[in-house]
Amino acid sequence: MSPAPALTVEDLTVEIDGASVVDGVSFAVGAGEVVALVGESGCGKSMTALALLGLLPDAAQIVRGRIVLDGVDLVALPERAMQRVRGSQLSIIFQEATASLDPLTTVGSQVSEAYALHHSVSRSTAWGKAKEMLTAVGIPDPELRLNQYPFELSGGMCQRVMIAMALICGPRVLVADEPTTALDVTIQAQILELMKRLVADRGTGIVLITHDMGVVADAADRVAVMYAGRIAEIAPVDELFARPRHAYTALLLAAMPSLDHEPKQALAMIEGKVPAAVDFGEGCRFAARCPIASDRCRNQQPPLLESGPGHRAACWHADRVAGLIGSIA
Amino acid sequence: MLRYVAGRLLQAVIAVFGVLTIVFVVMRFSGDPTLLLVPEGASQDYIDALRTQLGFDRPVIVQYLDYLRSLAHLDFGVSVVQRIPAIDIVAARIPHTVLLAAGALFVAIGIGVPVGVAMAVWRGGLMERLLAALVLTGQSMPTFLSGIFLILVFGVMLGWLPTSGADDFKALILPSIALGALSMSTFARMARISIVDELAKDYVRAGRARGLSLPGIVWRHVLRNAAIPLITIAALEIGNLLAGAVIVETVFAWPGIGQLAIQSIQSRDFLVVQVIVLLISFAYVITSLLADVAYAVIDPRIRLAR
Amino acid sequence: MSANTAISRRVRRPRARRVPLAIAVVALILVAIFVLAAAAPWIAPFDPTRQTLVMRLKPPGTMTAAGQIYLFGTDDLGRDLLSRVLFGAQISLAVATLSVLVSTLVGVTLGMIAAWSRGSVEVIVMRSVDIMLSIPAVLLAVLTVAVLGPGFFKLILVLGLTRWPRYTRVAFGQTLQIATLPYVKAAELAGAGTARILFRHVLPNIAGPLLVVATAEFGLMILFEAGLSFLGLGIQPPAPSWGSIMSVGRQYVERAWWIVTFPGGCLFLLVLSVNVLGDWLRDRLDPQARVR
Repeated sequence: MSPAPALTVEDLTVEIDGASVVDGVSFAVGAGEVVALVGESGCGKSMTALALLGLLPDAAQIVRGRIVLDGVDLVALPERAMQRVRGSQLSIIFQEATASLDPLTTVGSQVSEAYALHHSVSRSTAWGKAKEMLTAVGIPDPELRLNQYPFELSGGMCQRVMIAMALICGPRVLVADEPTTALDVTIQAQILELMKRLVADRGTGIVLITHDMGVVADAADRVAVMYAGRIAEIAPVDELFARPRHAYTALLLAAMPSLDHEPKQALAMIEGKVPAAVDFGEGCRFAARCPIASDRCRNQQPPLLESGPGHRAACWHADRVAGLIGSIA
Repeated sequence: MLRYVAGRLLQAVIAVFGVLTIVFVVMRFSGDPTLLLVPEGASQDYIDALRTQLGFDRPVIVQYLDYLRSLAHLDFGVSVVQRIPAIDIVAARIPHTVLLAAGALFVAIGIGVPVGVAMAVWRGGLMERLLAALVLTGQSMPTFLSGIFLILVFGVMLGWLPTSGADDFKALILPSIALGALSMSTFARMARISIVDELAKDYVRAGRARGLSLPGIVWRHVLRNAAIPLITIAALEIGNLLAGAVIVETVFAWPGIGQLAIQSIQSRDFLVVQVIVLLISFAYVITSLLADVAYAVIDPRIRLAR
Repeated sequence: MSANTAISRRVRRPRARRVPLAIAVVALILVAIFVLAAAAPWIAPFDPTRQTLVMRLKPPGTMTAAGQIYLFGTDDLGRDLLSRVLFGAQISLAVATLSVLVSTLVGVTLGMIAAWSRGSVEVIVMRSVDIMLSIPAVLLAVLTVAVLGPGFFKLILVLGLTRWPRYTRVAFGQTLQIATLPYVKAAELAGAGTARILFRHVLPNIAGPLLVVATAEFGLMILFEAGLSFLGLGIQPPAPSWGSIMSVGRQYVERAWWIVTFPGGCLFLLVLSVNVLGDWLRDRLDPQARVR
């Protein structure tokens, strides 16, 4: 019997101006587990990340759902209590690491601040912890870096600093919103390696937001594919890649360039674009672009249906998806 | 950093030359500058003699170079009205104006910046709208108007504060508020814009993600970042304050160089007027330069650039 | 397609949303002031220059023997304050409007030409702008008026010729942006002359930010005229400029508060309305311009 998950998201729904940009999203993250949320831009994955931390922009509201971290529903928490949770039990890192740091304060001040906010310790103790964390995230010569300003560090190093700040209080879950998108490919690999190592060592769960299936393949244990605010499919990573059960997933996988591709073979494309929130109808939101959509799909939103061990897909025709792969590749 | 400062210094020097030239040109707008400097009812012979004596019959270029040369020696000429060096007349009054400008700056920053910060942090609430109305009022009041109304209310009706002269410290209060009111609005608006801009930046979101509250972030991180553009504003405002002193000093009979300027215009003592305009303009250029240097000192990105 | 059916295109602006109540009120106030000022000769109850020394410094509401009422009271020479304030509105609006026109003409033309020609023309114009902006505005105006002497047209000239740099800067920056747009290049290739391009194609598209500057300057010119007149350097008495009325009022503030209050209140109302309108225009037309 596996232990209770560190983070459980149930039926999370976020609306902006009455339109739901995150609709009925549910997933769980266990200790030391990496769950990826993948999808195109605008599918609601970043909104989900912000909702978890209670950092939604003013125009957006959580209208339904629960976010349970260690038995506490974060949605119900007042702001002051939420401030105590952020950074200490639940952390987030963003895409642009250098911009996430105050340009006029030293790196050391900011990292130790992340610790000092949640523990009453002396400045030197906090500074010492900061140095420890910088070493843990693989930054050489941490003493020097602590006294430098963010503009003196490279993008990859800034992201390591952000990871250090996020993990310094030992949170249960780390949310990473496109952490490697802004970095070079080689640095990308290093950062992902670092993250995987840290969660293994500390038992921190990770919610990894990305649009890159390659990152998913590299780092995730389980994957949730999002489309137009909803989860289209959720499965363990190998299972998803081997047996996708939602047309969108299949098309996403087919669109990945791979080493098996014949030279000059056109990359597969998904026709059309993501519908605007105001255009959402009653049926499956992918129906307009789906090659195997039927009338039932257009009129009735499919719920997440079991289609394998730990594998659920919101598709009326999940069994036909396998055939779809053959015809695309 | 050195390159940056050197560049600003060069700009300042050019600006100074620009000011000198503009004043030179303007003084000759009416054709014969001698006419500006003679007392009323002077005879034609006197005028001609004065013109030759002051060198206004020479070619313009020669006059310009001579003008620059005398200024370089800090020779601002002798007042034809009072017969003592113009610079001495002005120098005696400078401390009063400096005091007034300091008082006004204190009012403007001391009230303006906190108001602007409050408007930014409590955006969209009742507080912001009240403060915004206050700021708008301050901005729509010309200095002489707010000066007169202050006199009316606090001097005449309530009798709390003196309304003219510079006898004691209390006399500084009303003129400072009158002069500072317009600047206060500028600081409030700029502070608000600056803070709102900063609040939209990623590091603020990251700070909140660590568990900082909004006021906490503003205090620890945003204020410093937001202050940078305000420093440039402060420098420009000093120039405006010095210029506005001309009006406020007249309203309150404050014995500074502003009042002196108007009195000199009325008594046709144009050399004194010239000195005052040059002086205030130089102060304007220098404060701009200092602001840019302060900018460099505060922002490590400029300070540490190779 | 001949050059005459020019490829002129306006950059389309989003359709106007509902105008907020505050703006409608303010616009109404401005229109009212303009109308009242224009109608002054017909609606002023008294001759603004007629002195009645026996009725000096009478408070508002005083009646004459003939049953007429001094709504705003009288000044130090027995003249009806309401009538003087009405005619004073004419002066304020006239000076502000004309000086803004002069500055706009000079400034925008110079800015467009500088941006279009680049090279030495740009350097000369823009350096002049920088130099002129290195003196505080009030000082330059005071000095110039002091040298030239007071007077209605001289004042307009002075104000117009000391403020043009503001317009030039904006016109320059905006023209630079528009000049690189494809359809402007196309007009150039089709053989359109510089003047035609600038006035038919560039000007309509930079009008937005320029209107924002002009509105702010309009408010400022009202203040400048009032301030200079207050100092005795602008419109001379007996012409009833609000500034000169208030200058007198300052002397009598203990005995006759109304001489200062009514023109002051009108001045405040006028400038406030212009500022509110100007801010709204700026938010609608040029959100990037947030100076002052």
